[in-house]
Amino acid sequence: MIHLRHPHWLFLDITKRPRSVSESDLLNRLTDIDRHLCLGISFGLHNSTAQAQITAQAQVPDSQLLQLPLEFLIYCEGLKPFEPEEKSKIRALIETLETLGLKTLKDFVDIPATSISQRWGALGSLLRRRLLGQDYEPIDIFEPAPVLQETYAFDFSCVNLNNLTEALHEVLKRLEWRLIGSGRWAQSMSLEVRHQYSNKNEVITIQPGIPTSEAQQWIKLLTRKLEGWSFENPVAEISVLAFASDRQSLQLHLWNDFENDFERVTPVINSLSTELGLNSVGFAVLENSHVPENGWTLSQIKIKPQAKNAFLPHGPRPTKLLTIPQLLSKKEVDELQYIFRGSERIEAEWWSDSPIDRNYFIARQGSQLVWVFKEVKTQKYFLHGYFD
Amino acid sequence: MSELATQLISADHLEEIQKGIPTGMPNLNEALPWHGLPKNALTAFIGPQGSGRLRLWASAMSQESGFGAFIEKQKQLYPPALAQLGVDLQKLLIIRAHEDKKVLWSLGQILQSRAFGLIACQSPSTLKPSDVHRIASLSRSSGASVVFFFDRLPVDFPHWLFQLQVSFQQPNRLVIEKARVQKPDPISVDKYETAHPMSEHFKQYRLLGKCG
Repeated sequence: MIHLRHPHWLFLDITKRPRSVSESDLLNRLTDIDRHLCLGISFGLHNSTAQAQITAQAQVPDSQLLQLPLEFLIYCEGLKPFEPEEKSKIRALIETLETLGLKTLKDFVDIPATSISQRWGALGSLLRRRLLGQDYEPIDIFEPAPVLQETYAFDFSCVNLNNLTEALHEVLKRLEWRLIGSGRWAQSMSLEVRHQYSNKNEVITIQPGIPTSEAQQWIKLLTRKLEGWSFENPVAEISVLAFASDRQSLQLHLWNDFENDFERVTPVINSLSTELGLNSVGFAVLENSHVPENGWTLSQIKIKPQAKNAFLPHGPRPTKLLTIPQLLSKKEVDELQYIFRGSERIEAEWWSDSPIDRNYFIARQGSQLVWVFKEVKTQKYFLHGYFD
Repeated sequence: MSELATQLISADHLEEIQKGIPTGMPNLNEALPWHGLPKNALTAFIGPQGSGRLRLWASAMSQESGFGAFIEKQKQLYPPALAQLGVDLQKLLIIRAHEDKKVLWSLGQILQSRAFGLIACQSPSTLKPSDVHRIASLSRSSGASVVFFFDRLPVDFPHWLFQLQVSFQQPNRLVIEKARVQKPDPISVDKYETAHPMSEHFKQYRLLGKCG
């Protein structure tokens, strides 16, 4: 994280550097900049931006900060420079202190905080806090996120979804590269559609579960919204606005306190469902069924917690269940080493055309522990699951 | 140099053994330097289906207070069995990704969300070292423990990216193939007992370990 304060102050938050970049690497890079630009850079390393500015200005080690003369209060700025009237007040403050016989910054911070506040107001208190490193300024995190825009004008009248999707591909691909280039994600996008025979524009806003820069994600969301779109009035131009978010601020968002645990995972569930389909992501809900295959369903919605043992099967169940039981050959049946023989009989759906009547066993098949059943009607054996 | 900078430098050079997620098997925990499955790291469970890999993972999941995720390619996971093993199904997100690429993409999304503590993933049929490297990096930054299930090890398996490798190849036995930390003392466990309520599912195992 780097903050450039016009015209010649560069603040670098070394706590945000990648682990692979050491502190000496950073200093080397700054020295390179110095050498190439012939700037004569001076460095200051400290806990806060204002303290770092003073030590850089005075070119002293950070431990000697408070031994500096009072005139250095004028450099106690940090990311935002003082306004001219603030500088006048600080000069007046320095004169007063010198009149009182005080000489160093330490003399100033030794004055009780309440006395400083009463005599010099908020500015005095701010200077004291900054000298003591109590006024921490985060670098770059709250910088306003940019809005990126890309436009596509049709050479012909766009009257079907395919042509519109092709144009969206091009626009979103350009936005993807711009987002990647700036190291950002888009947290939402809005598509503005301008029609050929009216001045009224239509706007579609989309927001994925989590910010992303991937064009494919945005195309999926947009085409889903555009399904059933009427092209009676042909489209003349589209414009997409991407509201970018900083990657760092996204991480901060994820560490926020959520109202409940479920809210923590909701964004990622939305994102996964968009890509994989609604039936592929969710939490298991046990069902009241004797048939093992119908023992549970997948649900994305937060449901009322079930009682601890509600619908829990009584007999042992395999951790992996085959969707379609696999018929075992006679040789395979002969090789099974039974652990629990005839442990459970499951009868269900007797009223249907294909009632279930099975005797389940737990057996060892080589190094595998398996769940097999013998169908009572046909006397055939099937592999139904693994105790993986 | 300021105290902050000193702390930063120290933190970079400090490799602490962070306490892992208990497996529910006290003897296995004792044998592992993290006293469980390592956090911020990748683990490989190697063995055929039905060898007990998932039951060990489920046992650890039952000890985990945060959210867990299970990523599979085919619909095979049977949650009622996990509930029998003590897993809170409301804390376990199940993801079915039908292609190898989507398995890795889903895993990346899960890790980037930083909302999950323990993740299981059926290994894709092709797993490039570069993919594993990326997952390992995400795992380190997310703080999650990621367990890959391998039926057998691929030819170009990137051993160096997995902190823990447990083999389930033989009946009634699991073997710690590798537990990489700074403590290189070999560990051998030849006796197994557990206090886990569903311990009968594990009683078949006699644990033998080696580490280094």
